[in-house]
Amino acid sequence: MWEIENIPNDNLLYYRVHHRDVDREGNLSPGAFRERDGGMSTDWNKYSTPEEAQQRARNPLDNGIVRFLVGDIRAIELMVKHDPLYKPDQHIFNRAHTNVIGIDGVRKVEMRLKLLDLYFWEIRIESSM
Amino acid sequence: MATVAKTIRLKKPWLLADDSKAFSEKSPFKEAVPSEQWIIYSGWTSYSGQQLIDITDKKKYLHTREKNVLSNIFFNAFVAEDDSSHSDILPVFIDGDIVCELPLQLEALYNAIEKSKYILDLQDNWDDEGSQGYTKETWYRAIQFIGNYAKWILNCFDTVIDTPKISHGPDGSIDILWKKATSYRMLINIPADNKQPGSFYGDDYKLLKVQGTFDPQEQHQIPFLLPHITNSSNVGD
Repeated sequence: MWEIENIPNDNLLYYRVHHRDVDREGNLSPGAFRERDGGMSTDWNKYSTPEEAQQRARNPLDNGIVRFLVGDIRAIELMVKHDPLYKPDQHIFNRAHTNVIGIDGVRKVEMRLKLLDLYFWEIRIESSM
Repeated sequence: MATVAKTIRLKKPWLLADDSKAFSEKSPFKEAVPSEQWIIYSGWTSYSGQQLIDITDKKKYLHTREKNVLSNIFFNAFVAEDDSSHSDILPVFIDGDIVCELPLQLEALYNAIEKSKYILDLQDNWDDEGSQGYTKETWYRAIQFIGNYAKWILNCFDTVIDTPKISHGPDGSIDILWKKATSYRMLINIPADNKQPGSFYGDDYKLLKVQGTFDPQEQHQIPFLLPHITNSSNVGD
């Protein structure tokens, strides 16, 4: 339905984080960065706002939103791949969907640790710890 | 006899107006635990409240008398059967079993371990996205590793390691994180599968880095972590 586009380095990705991934000081735990179905699922800011990204969660109020600069992600040798979702049978329509690929590899610990220094809060959520 | 911690810090609500009656019949200790049972505290705790361990089935740990001597918020409440002196050991309990015992010098690590017990409450699908839950066995291995590693560094180098954050990792694993702004960062991961090795990565935000895998039961395999996690000049979190 939607063509796959190249994402410029100065664009942003929004990533949903569950409240249980936030520590008492308001920082993400390294376990927050998880790949599912081939990548860490994010939303490109060309087609999504932080609020829309939050609303895509099963339980939006349980999730906050952090942002990454695409260039920062690529600088640590992770891949950013636009992956628009168009699944009418499942009522899934998300042109913003973008995968961050490469976390689940031999450098998984390194990647998760480095991602901790790259995110910024867009919609903060309180820790439940 | 296993060493038993005997110093208790009361939760604030448990302090009675008349401290001398802290162990009276109105004492919350008596309310919380049937009179035929005893409780024993697993080391220093905080106001946020750590558990008081029911050791009804561990008679050997039972105290024989109450000293009932209050000193501000701290007081000696229980004494071991064969030892009325203070303990220098902080035992970490889970379900009444001792996971590891730490010397008082490692109190900060002990507190970090106590905080990490939240991990045991995360069941499958804890994030509504299908993430795997965490087993007591994995947590147990992670705590034994970091406890033994910290004691080994203390014994061999007379150095107290920086205090890590212990949190849930991906796929049922446990993460142990050190992160000091502009100084160093290190992450150790203990996998859920006990046949898989642990893995680690650390750097100084510049060129110096360490990474690899290790057997979590062999803490001496990673002495090279030492420079990264014992730098007392580091800036705190």
